[in-house]
Amino acid sequence: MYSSGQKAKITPPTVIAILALVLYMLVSGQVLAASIVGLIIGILGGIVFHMPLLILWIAVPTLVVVAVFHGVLAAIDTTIRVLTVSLTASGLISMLGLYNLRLFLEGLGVPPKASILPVLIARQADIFSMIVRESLDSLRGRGIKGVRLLFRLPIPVLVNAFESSAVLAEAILAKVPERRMSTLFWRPTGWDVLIFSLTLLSLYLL
Amino acid sequence: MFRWVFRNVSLVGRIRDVNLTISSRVTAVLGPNGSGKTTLLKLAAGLLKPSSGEVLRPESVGASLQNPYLGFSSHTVIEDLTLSAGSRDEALRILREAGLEHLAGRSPFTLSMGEARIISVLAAISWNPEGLVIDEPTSGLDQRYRRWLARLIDSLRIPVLIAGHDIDFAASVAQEAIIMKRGTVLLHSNVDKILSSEVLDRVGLEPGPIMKKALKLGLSPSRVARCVFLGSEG
Repeated sequence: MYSSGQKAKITPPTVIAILALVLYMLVSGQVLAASIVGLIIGILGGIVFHMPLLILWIAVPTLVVVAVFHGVLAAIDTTIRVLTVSLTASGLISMLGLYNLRLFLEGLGVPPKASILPVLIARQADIFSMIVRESLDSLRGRGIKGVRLLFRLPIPVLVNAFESSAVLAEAILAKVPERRMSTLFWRPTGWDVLIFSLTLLSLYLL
Repeated sequence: MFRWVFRNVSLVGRIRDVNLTISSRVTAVLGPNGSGKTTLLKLAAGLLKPSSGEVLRPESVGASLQNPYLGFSSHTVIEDLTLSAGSRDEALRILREAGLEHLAGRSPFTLSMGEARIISVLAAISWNPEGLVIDEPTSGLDQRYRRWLARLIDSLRIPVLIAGHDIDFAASVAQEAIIMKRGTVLLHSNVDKILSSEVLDRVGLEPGPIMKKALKLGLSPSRVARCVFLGSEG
């Protein structure tokens, strides 16, 4: 039986199906339909309103880099595609819940020590943004400003990331149990039906 | 003359309605975890902007924050100090004066916490700022380095704000202290008054054994602390 400590809005089969459909839309040229689905899922998953900076962080560098090498139109097209995939994936994971994602991966046969990784990576996002802010403040407190600050910033952040990875690896080895906690069985929810219908509607109408 | 002025300063979720005029050369900000000490220091250094109110501060303020390793960005200590000091010669002079030239070729990321803290403070003053803030100055420092840092702070000619829980260290270098709790200032007075006030107990802070003894004997705690850390009564 699929058990969960965190209420999931949708079930894993819906996550996989919607992701596959959105990728299919993008590959087959239905970019508008895919981006609408991505936006709706991003809003329903709370990504659009709670993480606007994350969206900018993904969109702006993509737009700039592709515009330099391939022109503005290609840059807009690529940015929309990248944003669609990231909004869809993060919105779906947000609605599924990290704990349920872990159970799902374990149900698929992924060992517990590996299935906990996506959960840890997502949790690390908060810590990572705190580390970036603290590093910025520390460097500014040493009189390093402007472009020099941006060039120097990655060094303490990366060193800290390597050190944290080592600590996390030790903690995972020591703390995560070998026993799997899940089997593959899900009962569809109302949200599954709603999101699936929306995606199919976009696929056929747009 | 004032060094820092906080007028009705609030930062949502962190500190509220802080009114302070800091005029002593070294001031200690004391309080339990989560009381807003770091936020106050970052506001004083211009690293944070208040959501309301106004902070008047020196033009340039150096900062040594809680995690010293996050301010390092070169492969050797000397290269790292050169970034702030402006030239390699100046960086070497600072290390020599501090008696730490043996660390020059080491990677800053392999330093012990105490050494990293000291290098972080040296980096924060190496660009000649007009003020200095040090968060948790004695965290990770052994007694030798605590004394060393107390002497360094005592020798500076710029206003300094320190924050932490080490009351004995604060008493040795600071003339005034501020007690914070839950984002507000409970008390701002000279160090001796603060150490003998019951507010310390109310916020869960406790002086070390030497300070307790000094208070029991009716001695000035700050003078005793200066004797212990600086070898002088000031």
